[in-house]
Amino acid sequence: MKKMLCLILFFFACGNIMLLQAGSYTVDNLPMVYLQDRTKHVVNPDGILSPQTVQQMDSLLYRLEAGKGVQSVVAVVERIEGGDCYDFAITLGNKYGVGNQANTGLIILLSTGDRCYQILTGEGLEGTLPDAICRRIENRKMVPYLKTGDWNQAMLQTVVAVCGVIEGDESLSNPGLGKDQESGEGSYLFWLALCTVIIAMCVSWHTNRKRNTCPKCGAYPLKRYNSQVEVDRVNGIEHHKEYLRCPKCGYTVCHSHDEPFDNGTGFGGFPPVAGPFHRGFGGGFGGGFTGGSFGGGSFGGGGSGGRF
Amino acid sequence: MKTKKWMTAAIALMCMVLLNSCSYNEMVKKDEAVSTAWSNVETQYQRRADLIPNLVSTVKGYAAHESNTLEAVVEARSKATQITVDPANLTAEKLAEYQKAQGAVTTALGRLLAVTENYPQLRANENFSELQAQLEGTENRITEARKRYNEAVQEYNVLIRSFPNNLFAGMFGFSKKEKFEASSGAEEAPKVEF
Repeated sequence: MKKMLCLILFFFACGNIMLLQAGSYTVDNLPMVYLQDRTKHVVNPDGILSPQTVQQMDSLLYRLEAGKGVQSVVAVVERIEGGDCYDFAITLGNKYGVGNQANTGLIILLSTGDRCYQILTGEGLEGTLPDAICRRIENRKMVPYLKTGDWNQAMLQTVVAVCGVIEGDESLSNPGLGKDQESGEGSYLFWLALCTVIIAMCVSWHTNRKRNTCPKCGAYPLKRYNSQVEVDRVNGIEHHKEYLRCPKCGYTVCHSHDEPFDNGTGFGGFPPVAGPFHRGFGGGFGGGFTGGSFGGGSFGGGGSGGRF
Repeated sequence: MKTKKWMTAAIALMCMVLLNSCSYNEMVKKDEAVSTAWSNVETQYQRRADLIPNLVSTVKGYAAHESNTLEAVVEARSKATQITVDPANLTAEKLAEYQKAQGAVTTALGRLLAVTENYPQLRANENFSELQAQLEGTENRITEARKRYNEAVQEYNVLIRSFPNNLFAGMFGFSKKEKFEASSGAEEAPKVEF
């Protein structure tokens, strides 16, 4: 039994090593960095591109999404399963649903080992980036650099050109603009306020319940049978006393608290109960970047690709 | 005892009617989805047909004496554009006819593109390159549209053929629809002959 387990483990290890050696990515194991961090659009798991280029492209593509609502994935890998860039790109795009409701998703894929590339446009982007324009960009900006093996320039120039075309289309806009821009601030404040209110309500409910529970037998609620107020005019304080009796065991409780002397103006008084809750939150938020999510865009096969 | 039996029968009938009334709407929905998917397929084929004249005239400019190949494309195109299928009666024969006609266009186009390999000047023409990209993109769109159509038909067929919907589907005029077959010889990529 133990032997068999060892054998199985051995085979697993072999499989993993082979997978690592081949380094060919499937649609399922290609790391989608965008999902962890929505400022990152470039998938560069094999480190083919330099960090500088990745950063440049990321910032361009982030701006593109913020301004035009075009969700993009740029992937540069050594090898892909199947060796066909179009098949891989369209499966990837439809699996994750790259793009928002307007279907303006964009995938640019380069597989250096398979020597193929593909620009894939979502169904809503086919008007802005027709196949012919994709091909033109590839022919002029991508392929010349690919032939010399300058992956960085090939991808950067392509992204710059694609962004240029998309930026020039007035009809495109980010549908989530306003909502999306404020989601870092507005909706965050809203949820914070909501949480605060809920917590305050829970706390006040809990204290109230505790006050009205018999400390001896735990019965609830206690019955109020007497109360008195002593006014200390010199210090401007009212001493309130409340007498409660447990209906079950007959135990009596006296609650007392002080209030500022109410001189009839209605002003003055203690700060609101929820006061402390206004502070103390927020430390945990806003630290790291939030992950993005794809909005269910679909790809109908638009775009252009080729081999070099 | 007799009334109880009667009651059971009535409840069973009511259940069936309820069940059916739910799935009737579902059938309509799926039927519409198939129609939409079909019209998308036709749109993409039409798009390809629209690209052909442009392509032919571009190729003509560089390879005028390939007239046989060029004519074959034009002919296949004109035949294919004559055949349209109404999504309401997507029978096996109609679909096969449609597929055959479009397959002929695919074959003729494949030959034409193979022939263009012999004309480096044409290959270097940016206009041709972009037309080719459009054509490739359209072929990709056709594949995708066909895939989606098949998926829609699959869903529809599963719905109308499963119990108890199969008892009522025929009554309301929902019949099984045909899918695209993967390949019927004509759809296969042509061999390059020298």
